[in-house]
Order: sequence, then structure tokens, then C-alpha cells
Amino acid sequence: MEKDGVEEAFDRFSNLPVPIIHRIMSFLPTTKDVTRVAVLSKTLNSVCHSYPILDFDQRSWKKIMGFDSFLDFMQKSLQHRRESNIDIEIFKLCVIDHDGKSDQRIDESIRFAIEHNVKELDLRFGDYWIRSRYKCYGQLYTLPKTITTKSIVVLNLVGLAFKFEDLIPSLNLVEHLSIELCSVSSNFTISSSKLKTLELQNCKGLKTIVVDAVNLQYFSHSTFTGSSEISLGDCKSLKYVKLDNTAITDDWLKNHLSKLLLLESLILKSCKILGEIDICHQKLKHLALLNCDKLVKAKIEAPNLVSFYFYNKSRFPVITLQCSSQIYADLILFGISPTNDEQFMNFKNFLGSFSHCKSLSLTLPDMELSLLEELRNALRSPLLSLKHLRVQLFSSSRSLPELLDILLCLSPYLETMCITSKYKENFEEVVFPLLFFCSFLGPSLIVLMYFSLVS
Amino acid sequence: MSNTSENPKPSSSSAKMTLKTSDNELFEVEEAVAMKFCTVKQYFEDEKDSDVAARGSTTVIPLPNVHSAVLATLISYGKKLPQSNAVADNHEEEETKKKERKKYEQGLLKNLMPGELLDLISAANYLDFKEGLEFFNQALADHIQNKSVEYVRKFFGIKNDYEPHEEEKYREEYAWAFEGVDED
Repeated sequence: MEKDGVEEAFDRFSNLPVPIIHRIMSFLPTTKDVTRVAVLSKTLNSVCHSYPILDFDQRSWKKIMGFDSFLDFMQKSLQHRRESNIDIEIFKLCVIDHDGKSDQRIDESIRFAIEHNVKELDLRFGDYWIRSRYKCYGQLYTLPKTITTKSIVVLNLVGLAFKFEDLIPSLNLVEHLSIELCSVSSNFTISSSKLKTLELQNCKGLKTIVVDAVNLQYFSHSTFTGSSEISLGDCKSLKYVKLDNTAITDDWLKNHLSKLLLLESLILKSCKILGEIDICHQKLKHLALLNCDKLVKAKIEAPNLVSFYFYNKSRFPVITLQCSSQIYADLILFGISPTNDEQFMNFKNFLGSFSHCKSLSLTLPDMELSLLEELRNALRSPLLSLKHLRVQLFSSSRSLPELLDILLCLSPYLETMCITSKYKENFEEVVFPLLFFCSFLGPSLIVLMYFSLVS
Repeated sequence: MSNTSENPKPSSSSAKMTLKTSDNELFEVEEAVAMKFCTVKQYFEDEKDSDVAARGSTTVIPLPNVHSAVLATLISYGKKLPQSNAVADNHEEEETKKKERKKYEQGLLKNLMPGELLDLISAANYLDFKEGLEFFNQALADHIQNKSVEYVRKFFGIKNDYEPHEEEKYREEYAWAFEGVDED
């Protein structure tokens, strides 16, 4: 008998309760590990075949076998399981090299999962990152029409083509639905008391979305083309709403906010139709207005607001903000130039609303030194709450000590300060690295000089 | 081995329970920790229903499937978990506690024999001790990860009941699964 192993004759490992062995298997990081468990003993082999989680990710197999062999392998694995006839809990399939044509092995595997009452179905086709980055759809795989299932609770679809009419009958029990980069029919109407989260991201052909889901808590929508109509008014439990490049109007916003009384987080990104908005909401905790470039006026009355993110590219709107003193604000403001008195006034007044807030992070890529001086003189009291400041200057006509003096008078309790010395067109490339870096800086004041690279 | 820290306050957070193992050893455990063993909790609640007077003072809960050494480790692990009735710590305290817990966990696993690990998993399952079960299951998975079939069989005493030709067939079919494993 080996000295460092278990010395009993009874194989306690293989005889652990099956759910425990399955749980241990779920902790194994690679499919290789899981496959080797089946070779340990015959008992473990049959335990493996009843393992209710199937994950076929072509990306992990790319180094081992080609696309065709991968599909054969999947087909064979499923054949092994047909005998045991055990229900599957999770079925995940990720295919990146398909050419858009239907493949019997893929369709069969999807049907297999459904026949075995799968609860979580995750189908991803195509290279997600490339599509998101370049906003293209590529080859989409057609979802086999004959799937009707009543067992699915979680459904994730990426890179598929289908009609909602074919899918919706199977969504009775679905609690989490995510459809991304798919080509779909124009109308998505759903009525469900089970639905809790819904994501419709960049779906080609989608024009109208009508959701009647009384337990829906999370809704996120984005589109490349910006032409969807959305109706969420009946979703009284919504807590989180994110809209990216969605064509919502000022009235839509006012209307929905009056109905969604439990809303806590609202993120409006690139909503290019919003002009004058009125946000009055008791429960709202997080608000983000990002790149809504036509915004001229915003009145925000949210006594429980804890965080506020604002980013604009061209004009600076008139913003009146009534919020709590607990607020954390992150403002990235372009377009406050020395020639624009009106915007400067708006900005000055706006900044005043934060004088008592918990923490303020201000990024001003276009602000000149003279404007900063004016700001310092114009504000009755310095920005006591300002903790993080990032300023970008056109020219370094003043020396660094003078600059620091002005900035510190403006905000005596700064923790971090970032100064960039060269103007750069694309703010993402300049500011986000700074933001990322700054978030790791410690409590004592640290000044960063960032010299942007010559492009 | 038993826990004998006395606390005169009669509050429920310091109430104690006595657990009796398969080898007839008695363990006095704080209620907060014992309640993490759902089997014990169920037993206790059933007892409470039938006997309102004595609340945990004289009841001895028998655990015929658990050996004292195993129970000692499980109780010790249970104590290190964040207690549900504890006052919320500030960020720093939480971080220190986390580090302590990590250090304790590493120490615990370092000297653990495979047989002991299997015992702990069986016992945690019997006691329905969810956090303990997760932790030891993960530990076992970590032991198997990227190790060869021979190593795992030897380490855990797994009986190879395959015929040689059966095993050969499997190894050929899934040859890719056997590449790149750690040296024994």
C-alpha cells in the first residue's frame, strides 16, 4: 500500500454522493480536468456522464482541434449521454468559426439540450469582441425553428438570427434574458411575471420594444442605429435602467420616471434626442448622463442621489441639481472655453451645487489657466469637497508652482491632481488612462504630469 | 477537546449547545456557530418545538456519523466564518479578518491528508454545513486540477476497475485531455 495515499480498501472518493462529485467537478477549471475524472474509475465515469453542465466552447478547443473535429466531438459527447437520459441544467455553446450555414450537429445539440429540460441555455456565435468593437454583425447563425421549451430560466443569445414570434412561446419561465448582436424581427413584445433581467443589445432590425413584466428589475438596451421605441411603463419593479444610443424623448423620460417609482439607477448614454429634461425622483441613487449632446437644460431633483456622472462633448447645458450631501460626482466637461461666457456661467453655477458634497472629481480638458483663475475668483468659497482634479492645458505659459497655487486655492483639500500638457483630440485616449491611474493613488496629494504621446 | 469560554450573559448569541460525536466525545459550541450546521439547526428547532422550557441548556445533540477529530476541524472552520449576528465592521477590520481567515485556511489545507479531506467532505455533507462543504470541495478540486490520472488514483485511493483495453480506448479517444498535466 502506498504510504502517502489513503490506505483503506474502500474507494471513498468514488462513493461520495453524486451531487458532491458534481460540485467538485464544477470547481475544476478546464474541460481537460473534467474529462480525466471519467477515466479514474468506472463509477466516476458514470457520474461524469450525469454531470448536468455542458460547456462546449470552441475557443478552448482551438489549439487542440479544428472546427469540424470540435463539432464531431460535441456530437459524440452528447451521444454518450443519450443512454443515461438525465436532465441537463446548463448548456453552453460558443462557436466562432462558423460560416452562417446551418450545421446539423449544432442544431442537434440545441435540440438535445431542450429535450433534456435545460434550465440555462447560452448560445454564442461569432467573435463577440470584434463585432462590438467594429459595430458589425458578421455571419449570423439561424436558430433552429423547432425549439419550443418550457424549462428555460436563463437564456443568453449572441450572434443568432431568429424571429421573436418563434422564440416568445418558450419564454414563460425565463427570468434572465439577454439577446445581443442578433438579427431579429422588428417587434419585441413580452408579457411575463417571471422576467427579472432583460438585455437587448445591438439587435439588428429591432424597432419596437414593449415590456410588461411586473417583476423586472434590470433593463439594458443599446443599438448601433438608434431607432427603437421602448415602452417600459408597466414594469413597476424596475430598479436599474440603462439606455445607450436610444431615441428617447424628454416626454418619454418624464413619463417613465413618474411610473417607475422604485428606480435606483438610471444611465443615459448618447441619447441624442434629449433636449430639456426634468428628473424628479425620490428613490434615484445613481444617475449618469453621458454624451447626450443635444442636452440644453437639465433639472435634477433627487434627494437620495448618491452618485452622479456627467460627460459631454460639445455644449455645456444649464444644470440645476438638488441632491443630498452624500453625493459623489464625476464630471468630464469639454467645451468650456474662454470665448464662451454663457457656458462658463452655467458651469460656475453648476459647480456651486457641489460645494457640500462628499467627493467631486472634475476633468476639464479644454480649460485654460486664465479661466481657472477666473473660476477661483468667481466662486465665493473654494471647492472644499473637491478631492480629485484633472486639468488639461493648452500651453504652459505659467510655471508649475503658479499653476499648483491656483488649483490649490480653488480646492484646498485635493487628494490627487492630474495635469496634462498637450491637447489631444480623442478624449478617451487621454482621460481614461488618467482616470484609471488616478483611482489607485493614495490619500496624500500627488501631482501627475502627463505628457501625451505625439500621434 | 471542548470549548469552555464561559459568558454569564443569558443572551442568545452566547448560548451554547453540546454535540456528541461517534466516539462519544462532547463538544460545547456557541449557538451561532452550531447553527451553521443545518442538520443541527433542524434538530434544535424540532427540540425547541417539543420542549419550550430548557433552551439549549441540557440538550445534547448526537452526531453518530461524525468523528471528534473531524468535528473539531469543522467547528474551528465555522468559527472563522463571518458571524451572521456580528456587528458590522468597518473596512479595515474587515480586511484584517479576511487576511486572518486566508492564513488560517492555508494552514488548514497544508497539513491535510487526503483521507481527512474526504472525511471532512462527508461530515460537512451530513451536517449540511454549506460553507464548509464548498470550501473542502474546492480544496479537493484544487488537488485534482491538472494532475495525472495515476496521481489522483494513488492520492485518494481510487480503485481502477477498468479493463486495460477499456482504459486504453478512452485514453486514445480523449488524448488531448492527457496532455500537459503536471509531473507526478
